[in-house]
Formats: sequence, structure tokens, C-alpha cells
Amino acid sequence: MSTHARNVLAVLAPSALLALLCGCGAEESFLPPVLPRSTPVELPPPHEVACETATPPTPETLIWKRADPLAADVALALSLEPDTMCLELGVLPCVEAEHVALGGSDPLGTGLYTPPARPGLTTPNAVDRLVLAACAERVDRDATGPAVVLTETDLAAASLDPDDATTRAAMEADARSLHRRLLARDPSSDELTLLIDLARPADGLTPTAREWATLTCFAIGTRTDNLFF
Amino acid sequence: MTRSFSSSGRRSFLRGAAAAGTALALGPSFASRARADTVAPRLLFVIGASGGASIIDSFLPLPATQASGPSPNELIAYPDVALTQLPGSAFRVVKNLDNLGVGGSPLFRCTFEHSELVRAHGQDMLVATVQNTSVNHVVAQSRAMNGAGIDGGRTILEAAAMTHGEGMILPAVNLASGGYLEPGTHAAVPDWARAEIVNDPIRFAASTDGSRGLFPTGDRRMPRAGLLARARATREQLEDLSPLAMRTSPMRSRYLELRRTLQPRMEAADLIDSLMLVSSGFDLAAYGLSPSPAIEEMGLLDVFPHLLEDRFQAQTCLAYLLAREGLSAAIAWGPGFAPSFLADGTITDTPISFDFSHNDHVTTQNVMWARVASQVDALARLLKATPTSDGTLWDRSLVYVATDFGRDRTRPAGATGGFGTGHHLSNGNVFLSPLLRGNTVLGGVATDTALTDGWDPTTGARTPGRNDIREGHLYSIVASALGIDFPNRLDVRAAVR
Repeated sequence: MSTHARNVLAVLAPSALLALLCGCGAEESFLPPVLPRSTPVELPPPHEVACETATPPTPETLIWKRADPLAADVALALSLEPDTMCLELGVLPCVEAEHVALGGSDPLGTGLYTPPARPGLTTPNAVDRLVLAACAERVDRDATGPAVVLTETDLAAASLDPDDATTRAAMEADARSLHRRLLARDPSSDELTLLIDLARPADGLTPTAREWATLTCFAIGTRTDNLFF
Repeated sequence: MTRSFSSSGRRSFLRGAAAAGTALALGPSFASRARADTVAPRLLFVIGASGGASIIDSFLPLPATQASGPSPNELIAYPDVALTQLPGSAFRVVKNLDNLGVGGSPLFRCTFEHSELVRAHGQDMLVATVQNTSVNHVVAQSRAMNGAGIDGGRTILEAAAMTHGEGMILPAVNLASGGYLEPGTHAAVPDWARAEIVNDPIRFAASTDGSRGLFPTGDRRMPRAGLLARARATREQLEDLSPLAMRTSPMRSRYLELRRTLQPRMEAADLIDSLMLVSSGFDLAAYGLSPSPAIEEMGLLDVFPHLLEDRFQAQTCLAYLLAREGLSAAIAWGPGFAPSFLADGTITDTPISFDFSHNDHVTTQNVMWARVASQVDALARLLKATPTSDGTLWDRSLVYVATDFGRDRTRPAGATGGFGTGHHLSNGNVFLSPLLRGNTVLGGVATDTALTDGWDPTTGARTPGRNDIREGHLYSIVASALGIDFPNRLDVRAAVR
């Protein structure tokens, strides 16, 4: 080991030891400065509160699919354009209006160079808005023009009867298609049943075919399976 | 340096931190909870005056007639004609040079007079000098928020949220920029006390609801509300079947917790209406939405005449609404990199805020201080006009004008403008609160260097030629006034009522 390397280690080791003992970061997690060889290494005072109360964080095993990738994925899955599939007040793309809530950064606007580490308090709302608008748009296009995604179900129907074999087969085909497009896998039979049951009357409300299709798409597209990987 | 190692304070903080940890472990930490005490929550407002708001160009100027030393005409000092001191006021302030007609800029304009802030709120205003510890913007901004680590890395927003924001829907909200946005590093801060970052104050209301206002009312694309609730319930069942359910993921757990507990609270509270700043230009009613009732009730369009064009005004307005609705206990905001352009061609801010002082010190400081003072004044007036059961919101509010650092103290000999300045550690900060010792200047400016002298934290006595006040003192001033306890809190009784 070179002299230089040993000196660098001499500088780094106490800090690493402090971090291990403390289990928490100092005020700023910058690397320690490279000091001249003659400079004595002084450990900063430990932040006793943090050390006494902090427990080691649970390791994160998932990655957050943030603003632009999420919008791009949803748009691709539903054959829509990411900038127009969800518009706030009919003009501003949701992915732009709720960019930080969806996990994006904002380097040029607010100097937010590093995006939020974790979902914010309004993230679930922003996700729901983005996906709901996209699903509603897809269903509307499939109902009024050549169907691209929901090709099997009669979207003009006032209601859907899941107990009718032909209707159910069409619904399952479309639900399966949505599942594959949004989550890249087939639904299990339990998952499929839950989605089909969304068409049943409940609480005095009977969904139309369009509503069932939109809500099925929404329930799949806002699952955490579509937000984390 | 006097430190207050209060054992009772230490114990209470540890209890709070332990309770926060327990709440996290148990899950529904975002659910509505009653406060453990009956004390009305105190409110913290932090304006991040990014770029280096120099106190000697605003509320602690050096009069040119007092400048001394070997090169007095090279110190940044203002002629008497550019200064105002109201009778009985501790503050001598720089006038708005644009209004005065002796300076200013044809490009950047804010006509607010600093003295108006003193006239209206001087009795609750404190200026405290400081010697900062960094001239790197992001580092200095971060230290302005966390007291350079005096509270174990917790930011003052997080500390205020932990102390006063428990049970609120959005305990801490941060609309500021750069280092003022950085979350703290204290591991014991619970998730709910971390600030929600908001980059767009005008459209923030939309992100408080998962569906309302997405489509015009009656639009065929929008499912009925009751059905949407059913789809959400189905989604919950699907989550249990998710392949991810077997993975340990704090992030997914947090997301599900937010969606299950906070989203319903947010939607039930109709925040999309109460925080809606859009009041013209869009047919909100067609989307089933309405502007915040406070806009009319409080005359907010008179207070913030350029609400939709001026980002700083929109931020201040949202900050007020968050406090008024009891949604937040700690809110930060401030001018960012990009100036606001008004329809009449006015540019309200200098680019990159106070840091444009590199190009034109006098204009930048004068325009941007006027901007900051105007927003502090607007907020304070609104808070004073908002009644509570025992007074007004102002009675329990504190405004901390945070900034990165000061600017160089020298100018080309005799220059009155057109010169730039670099970063300097010497500075001071402005605070406003009835909880602080008002009409008070702690410290001063040395006439031979234009650097700030310090002050004794317990007696308030000026310390000529020396400034031992650091970011931790500023943090402790805010913490002391708001009843925020932590082990290393400094005794700054000279600043607190």
C-alpha cells in the first residue's frame, strides 16, 4: 500500500468508524476533506440525539418509477401521448403540473437537483389523477373510434353481466390485456375475479361498460406494482 | 458560547422522538390525531432569500457619513438621502431607490418601501447579526435551515412540524429553492414531519385530490364518484395479492399508508377548493371547482395583485392559506432562480435572486429586499387580520427571513452603482414575531469595515470587532420562540420575549 493510500485511509477510517458506531449521518454526508499529511485528524462530536434514538433503517428493496418514466409507461401501455393523456384544467399536462409530487426533480425552476427520496404526501393523489385521466381517455377513444386496447367488451353497454359467459369472456380478455399492458404479466384468477366483480351492481350503483373499463384500468394502473419495481 | 443543556428539554425531545418511532412502527402515522395538549400550535414561516441578502443593504445599513477607516469611500455605505429612520424605531433602513429616483433599474422593479415593513410591524421585528460559516450557496442555505447541524441535522421546518404540526394534514410544506429545500438528516424525524416539496403554488391544489377537477362536470369520461371509491377498494384487495407484498419495502409501505390514511383526509377536507389560487382565466365552475373562499373574504387579489403571474406572491398566498386552514405548522418559500414577468412588461425580480449582486449589487439588493419585505408585510397583515379563539394567527407566528450569507463590503471608490460583489460570511437576519423581542437590533455594523459586529446571546450587548454568532444561534432564536426543545439549544434570551 502506498504512503498516499495509507494517509487517505487514516483520514477516512475514523469517519467510517464513527458512522458505524453511530448508525446515522453527520449533519452533511459529504466525504471528509483530504487533509494535508501533517494535519491531525479530529473527530467531530457525535450527534448524540440521533445516535441514541435512531434505529438502522430498513433496507429499501424497490425502486420508485417516477414522473416521466411513469407517464411514459402509462402512455405506452394505453397507446396514448404522455403530454395529452392527462391535462389539468384542460391545458397543462399532469406530469408537468405534479412533477415533483410524482417524484421528479426541478433543477431549473427551484434548484431541486435531487428528486424527493420517497413519495410525498400528495403523491398518491397525483398518481391517481394521472392514471385515471389516461384510462378514461383510452376508454373514450376505444368506445368512439377503432378500439385499440379494449377490443372485446361492448363499451356501449349500459351495464355488463359477469355471469353471462360471452360477456365475461370479453371482460376477462380486456382485463387481461390491460394487466399485460400495464404490469407486463397475466393476472391471477383471484385478481381477475376482483376486476370482473367491479361490474356488479353495489350500493345502488351499476357501472356502465365504459365505467367498468375505466375503473378496471385505474385499479390496475395505480397498483404499487406499477409504481415500484 | 453559552449552551443550555436542559435535561428536561432533552428528555422531552427523546420522548418525542421515541413516540415518533413508535408511530412509524405501528403504521397509521398519517391518520388524524388529537394533539396531546391544548396549546394552540405556533406557526413558522421561513422565507429563503436565496443568493445572499445583505443586511447592510436593507435593515442595517452603514450611513456614508459614518464610514471611516483607511478607505471610507470604498465601503458599501448609503448617503443620508437614501436612508430612513422612523421615530422611535431601532431600524434605519435603505429607501427604495427606484422610488427615490436616484438609482434603481429600468429592468427590475418592486416599489415597496422597506420602511413600510418597519412602520407596520417594527414592534415585532428583530434584526440579529451573524457570521455565517459557508459561502457556498447550497451549503449555506442548508445551514440556514438546520443551524449548521446544531439540532443533529434536523431542519427548523421539521422541528416546528414535530412540535406544532402533529395531526395536521400537511405539517410542513417547502416551496423554497436550492439548499432551503433540502430535507434534514436527523434519523429520528418521523416521515410525517418531513416537508412536502411544492414547486408550483398555483397548481398545488390539484394534487390534493385524486380525481376532482380532472374533467368538466358531466363529462362522459369520468366515472361516478361512488364507483371510483369501489375501484379504490378493489385496488386495496389487489395490493394484498401483489407479488410486491412479500417484499420488505419501506417506500411501498409508506405509499400505501399515505394512500389509505392521508388521501381520504385530504379529499374530505376539500383542499382542492380551499387552496385553489386560480380565480380567473379558467372556468373552474365547469370543472366542479371553485377558488379558495379566502380570496374574496380576505381580499387576496388586492394583497397579491399579480397572483397568477408572480410566483413569489403565489407562494406567499399559499403559505397563508395553509396556515389559515390549519393544515401546516411550518412553511418555507422564497424567490427562486427565474424572475417573474408581469403582463405589463415589469420584471419583478432580478435573475437568480439576490445572487445577481455579482452583476449589479445595489440594484439587486434593493429590488430583492423590497420583494422580500413586501411579501413579509403582506403575510403579517393577513395573519393579523385572521382571528382565532384567543386573538389572531399573528400572535403565534414567527417569520424568519433566512439567507445564504452576506456580500462583499467594498465597492470601487465612490461608486453608487454598477458594480458587483462576491459572497461574504458577515451578515445578519431579519425575524418578525410577537414572540420575539421587537424593535430590536442585536449587533451592529462596524463603521471602519462595514462588517457586522456580534452580540451577547444573553444580554444582547454588542461585541465590537467580533462576531461569534453562528447559524446555530439563529436556529435557537426560532426554536426558543416557538418552544422547540433540543439538547444543544443555545441560550438566546436576548432575542426572545
